[in-house]
Amino acid sequence: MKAIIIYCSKTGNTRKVANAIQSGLGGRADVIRLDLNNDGLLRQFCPDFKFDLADYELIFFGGWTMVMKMHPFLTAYIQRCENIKGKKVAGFATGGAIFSKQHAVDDFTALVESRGARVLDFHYVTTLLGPLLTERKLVQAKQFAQGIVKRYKEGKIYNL
Amino acid sequence: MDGLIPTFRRRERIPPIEHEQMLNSPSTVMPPPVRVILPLQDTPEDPYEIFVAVGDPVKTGQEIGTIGKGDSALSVHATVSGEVVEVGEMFHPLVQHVASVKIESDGRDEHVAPVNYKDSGISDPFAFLRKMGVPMGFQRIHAIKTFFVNITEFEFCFNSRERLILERGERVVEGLRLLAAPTGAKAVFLVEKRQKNVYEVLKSFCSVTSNVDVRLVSKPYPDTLRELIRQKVITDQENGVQSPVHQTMVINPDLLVAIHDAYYHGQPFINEFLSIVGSAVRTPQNVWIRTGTLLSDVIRYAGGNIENTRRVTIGGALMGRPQFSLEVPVIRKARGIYAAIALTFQEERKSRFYRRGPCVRCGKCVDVCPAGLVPNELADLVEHRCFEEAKNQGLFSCLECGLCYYVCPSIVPLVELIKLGKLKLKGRNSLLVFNSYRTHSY
Repeated sequence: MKAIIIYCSKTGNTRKVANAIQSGLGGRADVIRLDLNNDGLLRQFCPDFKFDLADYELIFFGGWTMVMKMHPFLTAYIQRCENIKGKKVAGFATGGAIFSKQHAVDDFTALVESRGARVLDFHYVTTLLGPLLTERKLVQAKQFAQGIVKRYKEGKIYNL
Repeated sequence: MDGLIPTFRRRERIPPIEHEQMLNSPSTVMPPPVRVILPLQDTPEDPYEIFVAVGDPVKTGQEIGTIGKGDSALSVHATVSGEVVEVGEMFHPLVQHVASVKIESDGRDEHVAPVNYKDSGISDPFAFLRKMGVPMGFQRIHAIKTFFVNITEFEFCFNSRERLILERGERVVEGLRLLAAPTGAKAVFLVEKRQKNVYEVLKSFCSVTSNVDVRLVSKPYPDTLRELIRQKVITDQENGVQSPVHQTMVINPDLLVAIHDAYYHGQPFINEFLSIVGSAVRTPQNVWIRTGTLLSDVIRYAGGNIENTRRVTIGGALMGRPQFSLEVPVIRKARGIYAAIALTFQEERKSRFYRRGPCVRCGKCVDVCPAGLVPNELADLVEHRCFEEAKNQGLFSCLECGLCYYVCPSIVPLVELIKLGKLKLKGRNSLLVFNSYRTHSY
């Protein structure tokens, strides 16, 4: 199984969560950080960066919630990338408050399903700009990834 | 919302991460490309001459045509050896279609025999330089009393000028001496305060020459300063006025290297020194390339992935011209290439802090404007179609540097509005007149 993690992070919390998820996948995943500026330009060369997801079976999208929605960088990427149809997608998000969770889930699900992919699961981490991102939450994120892989191998598909 | 203080989008002039590494690593030489496109015009209205036809074999450095006709002609040379495969209208990075020559390389890169100035038998050194294809303002060069050599980097993603001074400082100073000697002109190097290593190198070279001076300036000068001077000369000639500005000229150090090479080694101007930067290339670097190389070849050489490249500009992020195709050639006078991977955001998904808002009169654009204008007022006047008033407020003094748009917290498209004002006032030609990459002499 080939997996890819695509995330955007500003203060570094989502990066920590993405790293935890990568370790949950056993380190066998490509990672793309959408390090964009406000005009939508990628800041640094990223060798793995591509818009084509044909090679991957499992895709993790991650971002931080902005105004109760997934961040525009991530949504722009999801709308732009190719060969996402029929893929299995998992999402994770960080945010200040737990109230944003359902909004983020709804937004993410609508976005991914409009591209013809299926959402397996969604993981939300309350960070409050850092102080609430404890070690335990990172472990939970790791377990989330392990659970996805387990379910994927057993052929069970979890519905939201 | 994008930050701790969610009031304004904050922007600072921070050089990109690779800037320091680029400056300290040596430049590379790109091997001759498979094919080149050599434009014979700067604008579709220019006269031109062509000396080759389809199927002709050419050698590197062979004269294939001229931009302009008669005394003001500027030669164009083949930059690879091979065969002429196409003659006609082709893509140009600035204006859509101009007459060009397409040459396919045979891979041998045979040069024509070089002829330096002493052996050439041409008495006028400037006629010789014109024959060698060095793009300069030849028409008024005899009246020049002060040459300004602009070493400052306005585009903060590039540093090819600094690198050039560090690598070929001798040739730059010698080229300047050759340029200034026939008319007895003075020459001044403009160096920014933070470019300390460049200042020391230039000082050591210039201490032996009397007419050359090095000045420290606090802020970088944009390339379009040259065009501003040229525009003033043109408008003053219409009005019959003379001013000291007419006796000055701004030139770039890469041209001085070209002058040196042409004078002593008989090399025509076929090599260009460029910076290639941006997130679409693996190794941002300063590189010598042949004029007319296609953008796709340059990006591939720098380790870029053509599939992912979404935004390419000739020139920097601030003043560069966005390109519609990667099959356009690199023209003479181009400073660098900025290639980036870009994503387009959906308008309704943008936060309102990313959208255009009303002018809040913060005055940031006034602070940064290098021409001392009030860009928000000008844009306002243009938006309300008061073009004459905008002209009285100095619309044509705008350098189109893009700093006002860059710092604007409300994301008002100030430069675009000012460009529009110029366009409306002078007709479609005005943008072409204000073309800092123009190679034809004036």
